[in-house]
Amino acid sequence: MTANVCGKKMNVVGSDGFHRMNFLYQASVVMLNAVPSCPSISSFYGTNIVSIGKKLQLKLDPSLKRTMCKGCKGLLIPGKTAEVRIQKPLTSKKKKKRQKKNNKIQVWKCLLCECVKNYILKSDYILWSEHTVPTM
Amino acid sequence: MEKEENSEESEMMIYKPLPVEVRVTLEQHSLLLGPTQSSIKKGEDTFLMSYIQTRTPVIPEELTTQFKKNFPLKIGRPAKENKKTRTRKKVLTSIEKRRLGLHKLPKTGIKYKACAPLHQLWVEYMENFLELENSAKAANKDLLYQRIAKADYHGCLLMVTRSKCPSYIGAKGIIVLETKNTFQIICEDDQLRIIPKRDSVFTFNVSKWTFTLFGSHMNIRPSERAARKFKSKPTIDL
Repeated sequence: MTANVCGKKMNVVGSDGFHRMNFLYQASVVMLNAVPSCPSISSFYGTNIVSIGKKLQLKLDPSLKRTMCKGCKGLLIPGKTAEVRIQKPLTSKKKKKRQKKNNKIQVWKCLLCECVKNYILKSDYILWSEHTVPTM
Repeated sequence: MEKEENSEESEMMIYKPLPVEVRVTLEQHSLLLGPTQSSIKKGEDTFLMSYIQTRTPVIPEELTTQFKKNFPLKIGRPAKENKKTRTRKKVLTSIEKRRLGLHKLPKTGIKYKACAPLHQLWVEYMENFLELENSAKAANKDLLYQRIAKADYHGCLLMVTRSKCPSYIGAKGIIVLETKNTFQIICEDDQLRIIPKRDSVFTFNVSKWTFTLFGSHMNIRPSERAARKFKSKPTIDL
């Protein structure tokens, strides 16, 4: 499998796996829309994505990884399969030590398996993969 | 003045006699006679029965049985609901997966027409992945065979051509799920068929090419197949 990098065709290591994972992700989206009565299909494809990544040592981009539930590996679509809520910052004494007290928390809850994922909402935070300017 | 009179009357009789209309209805329902002791023991509340019969349009047949029921009040606190909030371990255990029904597909829920977009997506994926125009020109087709072995078959329109079990032969449909030992196919009659890979030969089409898969050599989990290197064997058969 070749990839276009700056106009030149280069062989990317593991691109077979990426091609497959990409297809499986799109397939899980399609099946969620096509067969809403059976959400386990999308979680089956999700487990395949994760296990292919483990076998071939490939990593998922955070933009895709964050839309997959950690428990059932199904797709998280806010409103359809996931519940998104914003929690007030924690005020207990233990949490104050970790300096998280002033930040609100975005809680993603998968409606299938009831797995919860918390994201701390920091205004200045940029993900490593989303950096536009190269930083060390 | 009127109030005084009323109070005098109330002193004499605590309860006023019932108005005439009510008396008439009660007579009809034979309450004035009073319920007999035997009927109380049996549990037949004749007034209630007849009252309900006059009011409801349709007489339910189970009235008598329902009237005999006793509804004792529960003594004690109601049981607390066990709120199982899973916040520590995120990965589901296999028992929890079974409870949620994530290990199986329902046999009748999925329709063949609904899987058509999945099939289109798969055809585009295979045409891109296999690069059939280049492999047609190439003398050595090992790369093509490797890619077929590593490919994903969810959404493939598969047909069983040869099999040790004659009932599987001729089964044709879109693969919805692939496991270690089976292909789970949706046939045109909206039926989910689970076909074991062992002892079967499958064929599928991509653009102008037809490929055959020998199922007994593919008894591997689909994710592990992506990492496997297949060795060529001298004889391949059922």
